[in-house]
Amino acid sequence: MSEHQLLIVHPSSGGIFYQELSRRLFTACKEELREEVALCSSRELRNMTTDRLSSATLAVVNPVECAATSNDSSGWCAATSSVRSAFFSKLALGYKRIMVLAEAVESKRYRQQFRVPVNFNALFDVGFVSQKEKHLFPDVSYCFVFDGPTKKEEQVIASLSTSKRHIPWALVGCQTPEHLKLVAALVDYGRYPEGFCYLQRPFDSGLSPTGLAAVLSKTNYYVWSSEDSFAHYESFRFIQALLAGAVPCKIDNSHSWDDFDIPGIFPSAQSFCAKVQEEDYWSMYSSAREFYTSKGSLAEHLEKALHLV
Amino acid sequence: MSEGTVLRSLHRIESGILGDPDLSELYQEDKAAHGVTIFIPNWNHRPYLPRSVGSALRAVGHLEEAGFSAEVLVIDDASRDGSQKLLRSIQMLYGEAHLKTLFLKRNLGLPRLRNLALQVSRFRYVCMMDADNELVPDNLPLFLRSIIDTRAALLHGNLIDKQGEEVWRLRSGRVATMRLTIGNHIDAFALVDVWKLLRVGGYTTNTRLYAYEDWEMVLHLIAEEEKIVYVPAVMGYYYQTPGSMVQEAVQKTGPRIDPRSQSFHSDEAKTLMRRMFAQTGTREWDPVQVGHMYHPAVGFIEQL
Repeated sequence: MSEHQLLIVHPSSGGIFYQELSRRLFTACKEELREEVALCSSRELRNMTTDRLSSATLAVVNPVECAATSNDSSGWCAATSSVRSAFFSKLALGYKRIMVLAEAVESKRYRQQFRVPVNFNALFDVGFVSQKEKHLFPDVSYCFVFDGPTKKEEQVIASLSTSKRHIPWALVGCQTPEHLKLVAALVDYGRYPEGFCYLQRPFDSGLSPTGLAAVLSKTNYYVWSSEDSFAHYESFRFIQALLAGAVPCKIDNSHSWDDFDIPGIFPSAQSFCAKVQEEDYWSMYSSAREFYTSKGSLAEHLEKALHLV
Repeated sequence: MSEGTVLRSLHRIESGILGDPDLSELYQEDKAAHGVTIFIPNWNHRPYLPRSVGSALRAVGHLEEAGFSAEVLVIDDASRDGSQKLLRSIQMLYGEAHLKTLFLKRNLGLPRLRNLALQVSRFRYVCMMDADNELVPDNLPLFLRSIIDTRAALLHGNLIDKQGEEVWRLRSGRVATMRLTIGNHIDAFALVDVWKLLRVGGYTTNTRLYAYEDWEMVLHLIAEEEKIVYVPAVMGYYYQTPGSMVQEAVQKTGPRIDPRSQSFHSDEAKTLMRRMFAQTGTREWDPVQVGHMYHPAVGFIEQL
């Protein structure tokens, strides 16, 4: 399929998360894989010519969100059903269609993607842990893509060295019961109460990517809990931490992660604090960096997956 | 005409109390800028005083380690539960260097008590607490540094809201927006710049806004284009206890939790606030951000 252009389609507006994933996929392809890759918004795709679409492999990052943001207005209004139908009609014209997700298989956000009125040739599940065993939609073949670094990210991570950081830990996310318990436990523990804590509620603005990077660049440990009950590792948080020189630390007391070699997963806030006491920040950071850079680049994993389609 | 006379003429500052010869001599016109007064008002909250006063005194230690000066000021509003006796015992234990206690002969109510604290504080910055709150002592230097850096009139941080052992939510944990005209999400437990609060007339003593004077103050400061700053760190604990002022106000006026502001309010208070501060009633203004997020290690933090 190398003769066809790879078009990475991202949601036109809305959550930063999938836009960032699209940008990273594009960068990885551009750096190492192919010249004929392009990035376009769902709105741009809706206005594309049939000729261009029929010669392109479309990698659609979160199709549901792409459809919902494919209207012409850049405001908050979701696309009408006719606009969404037009988007899906255009999508159907692609030479091949790949759905790109980074969600827990059990989640509603994952399942709803398979109700869209377009057939996909494959699903690329981007993350740290394959969910193949749990994938419930056999009509769409499952390909796991390890969320490795781009070349540029690898350079950034390699260039970081130990430095004095003034924020012991940062917790940024939604105001879920798990996050509330976690912040209380970290403060109650007493040794490191001066952490950074921003827990959003509906209608609150999140930190911008540059705002979060600025915070993490002054932070030792970036901690989080899953925002739902599924056994899913949030690789994007790991990458955000590593790029800013912070140690990624997931607190999860509901699932066992012993079978995986991802560093920095703790069953409780207490075990995290105990680890921080016995091992210094830089040693923990180095372990995380070694894990991440030893698994191969995002481009390598994408290439393998693209060959299967 | 002096500034004090002007303010008294606006019925903001309780002139009767300031006229009391015993209290007027406590009035501190010159306030040291490099320190903080931790103020705890008390009315029949004796069981909670050891926790709140203890945390405040520990915070004084942390502030001094960080190079700041500090004092704890407890004003008892004519309690009838024997709080005075307990406070005198605490005073005996800790001496007068860091702890000042005042006992009022007649009950003034919280807004007037807060105004009195603004007047008698030794320092330019006051950490406003309630008697059933608890400070995270290690973190107060961070908040004091932030209010000095940003020149904010009011600076708030996260409050861990507890019901028993259960963490219910984080209070005060969001940047000020015009949604504040729908309901208050910034608790009174915050750090304030006394000069700036006195300049706008102190806390309102209007009885129709009783228990909402902190909400009115936030909106008043915004209207005066003063800076409201949120520091995303934990300032302290807020305990849901029967008999707290908010609980009493909620019982009187009926509880409503507004989904957009995530705050309790009474219909009357909400109507008054909207009339005073959102006269156009334009909903498009609600998400407009009027506060700032800041951390001393990072500076002002960009949001989406």
